[in-house]
Amino acid sequence: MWAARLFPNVATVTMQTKSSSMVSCHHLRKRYGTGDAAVVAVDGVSTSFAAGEFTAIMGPSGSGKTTLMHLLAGLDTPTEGEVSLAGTSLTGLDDRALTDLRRDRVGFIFQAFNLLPTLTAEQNIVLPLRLAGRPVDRGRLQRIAASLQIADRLGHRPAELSGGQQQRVAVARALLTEPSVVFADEPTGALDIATGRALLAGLQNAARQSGQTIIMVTHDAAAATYADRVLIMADGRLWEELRAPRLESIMSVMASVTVPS
Amino acid sequence: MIFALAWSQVRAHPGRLLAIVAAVVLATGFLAATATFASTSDEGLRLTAAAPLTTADIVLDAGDTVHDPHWYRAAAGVPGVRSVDPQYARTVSVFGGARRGSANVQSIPATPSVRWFTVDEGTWPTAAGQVVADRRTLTDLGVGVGARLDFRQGTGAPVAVVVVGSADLGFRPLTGSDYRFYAAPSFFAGDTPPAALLTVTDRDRLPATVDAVGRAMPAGVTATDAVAASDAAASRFAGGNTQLVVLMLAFAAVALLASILVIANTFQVIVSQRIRQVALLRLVGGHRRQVSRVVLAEAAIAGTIGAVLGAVAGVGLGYLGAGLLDINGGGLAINPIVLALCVLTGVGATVVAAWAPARRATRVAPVRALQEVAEALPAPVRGGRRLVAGLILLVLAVGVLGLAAVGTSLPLALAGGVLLAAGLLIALPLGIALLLSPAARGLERFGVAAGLAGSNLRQNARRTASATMAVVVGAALITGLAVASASGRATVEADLEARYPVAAGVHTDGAAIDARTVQAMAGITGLTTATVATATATFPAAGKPTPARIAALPAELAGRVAPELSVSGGDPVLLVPGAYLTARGLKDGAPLTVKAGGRDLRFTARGSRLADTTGQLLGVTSGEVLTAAGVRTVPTAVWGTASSGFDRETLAGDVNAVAARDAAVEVGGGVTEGGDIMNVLSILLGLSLGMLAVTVVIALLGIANLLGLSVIERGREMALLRALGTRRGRLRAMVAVEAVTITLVGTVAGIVIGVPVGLVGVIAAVGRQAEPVIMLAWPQLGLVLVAAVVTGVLASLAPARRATRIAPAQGLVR
Repeated sequence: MWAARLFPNVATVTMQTKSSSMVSCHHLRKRYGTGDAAVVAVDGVSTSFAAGEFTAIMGPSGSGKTTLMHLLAGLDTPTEGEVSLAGTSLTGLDDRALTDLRRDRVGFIFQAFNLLPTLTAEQNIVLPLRLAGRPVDRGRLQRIAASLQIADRLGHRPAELSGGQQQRVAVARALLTEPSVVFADEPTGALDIATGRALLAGLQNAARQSGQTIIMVTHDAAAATYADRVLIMADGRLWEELRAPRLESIMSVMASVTVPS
Repeated sequence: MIFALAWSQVRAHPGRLLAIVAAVVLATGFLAATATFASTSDEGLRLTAAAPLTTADIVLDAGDTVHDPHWYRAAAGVPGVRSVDPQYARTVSVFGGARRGSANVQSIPATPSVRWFTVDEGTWPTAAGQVVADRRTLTDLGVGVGARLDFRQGTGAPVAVVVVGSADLGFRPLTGSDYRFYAAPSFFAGDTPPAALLTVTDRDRLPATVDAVGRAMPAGVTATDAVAASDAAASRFAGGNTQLVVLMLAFAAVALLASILVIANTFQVIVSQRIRQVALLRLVGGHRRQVSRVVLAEAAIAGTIGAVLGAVAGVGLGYLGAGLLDINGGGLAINPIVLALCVLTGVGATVVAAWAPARRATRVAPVRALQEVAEALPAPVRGGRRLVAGLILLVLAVGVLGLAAVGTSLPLALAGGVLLAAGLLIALPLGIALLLSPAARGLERFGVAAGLAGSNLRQNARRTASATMAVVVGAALITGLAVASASGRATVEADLEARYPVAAGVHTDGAAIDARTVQAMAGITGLTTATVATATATFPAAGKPTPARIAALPAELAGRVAPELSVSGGDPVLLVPGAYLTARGLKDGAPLTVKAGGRDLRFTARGSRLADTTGQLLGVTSGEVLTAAGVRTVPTAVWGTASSGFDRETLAGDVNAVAARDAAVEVGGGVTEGGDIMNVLSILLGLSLGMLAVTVVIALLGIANLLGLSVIERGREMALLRALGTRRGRLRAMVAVEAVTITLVGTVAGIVIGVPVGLVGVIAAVGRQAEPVIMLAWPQLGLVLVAAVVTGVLASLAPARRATRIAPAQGLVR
């Protein structure tokens, strides 16, 4: 399977100790709208994500998990509270600094619409490096592509690739820049079971062997079992935190938030 | 990277950029065509001016102080000089052909090597009575080699000449004499040549020979190296094509403006379609500036392709235009720098037009790449502040235009026009967007298809409004030009009719007029003629030109054109030029004594246009007065009046043809005036029609593009409509209604703006000299409306076909 061979091939990523926190937030609050129409999507969340840790964020629809991820990635600005990413506080960063941070330290993998349709797979993969004006390590690109089994698809455009191949191109793009943090939003949502499992195993390895911090939002309890810990949200708050989660424990906590007692 | 990304977008969707490329092609094409036309015709005219100097080595110029007809002969004795050819020139009137006109007669050097053209048909002239003519001159006169013509210089006796040859000189100057002839030096016997052409035995010693010749010449004569002289002659020759070039530039500016609107709109649509792509680019680390650079790079690519194509097409068109006017004798001439500037302007306009859409792209939040939101949310119509700013500008503009009309000030009218354009560009899109809601409601009454079309127009009001703007700009300019030129013509016609009671007339210098000429004049359709007898008279001199003849009007003619003559009691009335009264310090109605037929005649002097608008300065009185006084009169003139609204050009041509057969007469009256301004107004009218064609093409592309994109966007909606049982024809009708609504709304707005602006322009331009006549050019306005509907239907064809190809099932799947 491609994912099993992926991570030994990935070149050294700056190793960081598990204890140091790569992403953290403090009293994070996000309110949309004003007055009666106001909705508090994230309501006072404080947590941290250690370097090399794979965290799954779960919760029923509307629990605020996607908003939390956007806040942590600097894609949205909190109403209150603070986020720091890779040692940098996001508060007060201008668009330029935020963009650079995203480009250099953060990778994104998400369910659909991952790629620019007019660029080839290879052009999509090297896009962040080219935007940064950094040279592309061809050897490394070839190794990543080979391990993802897309080496022969690099010249194709997204429309000529299957959904799984497109997702792997997006993974290759997220990994080529050696990001410290990878945010994944329902990464297996559009994949068949086998491909989805392989992707999750790959993310697990990225955390364990390359010390990358993985933060994944998912609906799928089975997917969350690949994570080191699971954060379960409800109504914008952290409801439960599970370490080394098993499917049954996740299911029972989810059941408790979905069906209020 | 930026460029690669932009290029990949261009390659992936070349069709989308078609409208942009086409708009740039048109705009750049006009610029390049204007530049090519100007430089090619200039080169042709320069060549014409310099041609006689290109075969000589030295040119001698005699100043006004030289009066010896043989001044050039001394040059022959200077060592190193091989040949000396005096250069003569005369301006004469030509008679005997189908037309009559002034001609330039130049001498042909006796030395064959100094002749700068060859005779294509016939022979070189050898005797005084022989001439060679320019091929075009012969065509215009309707004669061939072997024809006999009469030349008359000034008031001298006509000289008969035979055309013995013709030459194709490949040019026709836009100004100056109508015709060109070449004669042997003997034709000019007695003239003092203004110049002489010399050749030398040794060109290496040319400077020394120039000096030597210069010293040998009498005072007032200068000797110049012929190369330098021909350059000087060419540069002195300012082309007569300036007016045309200015008009063409105005044309190009309009094409550029309309293009910018179409391009901006197309990019707006492209960017809103690509919101998720833009967001993705931002998400993976693209800076705002990088995002906008992608859009601008795309604009630059499309702009460059369009501008280069346009420049190539424009050069071809410009050359063709110069060829049609026969002023391309110098071959294709184009300044590469100017051409590069045209291309740069085209590219620059595209990039400028893409600026706002590019800025809009930078405002896309990166998070939108992660969200499942609608690709393009229809932007609500907002921008009250913009509307207010635009309206303030509009009110100012209307004020300034009003002032311009009242004060008949052209600069003020121009300033008002600029203000108006600025105000409209700001306010009109919003105004149109607001208008679309009621328009959509109105359309709902015309059935389902029209209702759906209306709702779509309303939903994308902003986008629709900017597409409409291109139509508005075009329609406003076309109708403005058409109304201005129609009203201008009407104003000039009315003014000429008022100022020239005699529409057309011919007269001799005092000899009895040829009966055949009188007959021919009487035969001209639409002209009521009368023979006028005149008598020599001596007026008290006024310093200014003073009348020398008195015309005695027959009673019938006097009744029609000079009712003031029939006043009874007191001295008989004599009509004199107003300028004569002023110069003499006389009041209207003052007594005036004129000597005629050997006796003093007492008159009451009245100022009248009749006295100086028939081609002669005259005193005009009634026939009975002179008969009663026993003054002998001779029939010397034929005066013709025409009913109002006559065809000036036809009449001028007919009278000219009559005059061509009688060397003794001169043409006078209203037909001799107004030709230049009429020509300009005709060009203006033609231009407005040409502009119609260009605007139709640009609007067609812009609207087709807009509808095509909206069909793609609404693919699911269309499929759903089909699934629910909407027939293909109805979908097609829906798209067509959308297109026609855009073109009609734009055209009506354009007419509403263009007509008053055109009228203000006319009033400001001619209001001071003449009472403005308002003429709304209905045929042109009708044509513009028809063109609007046709353009709308044509623009909807391709998008409609795409809409009907959508399978009903597509509406049911994601």
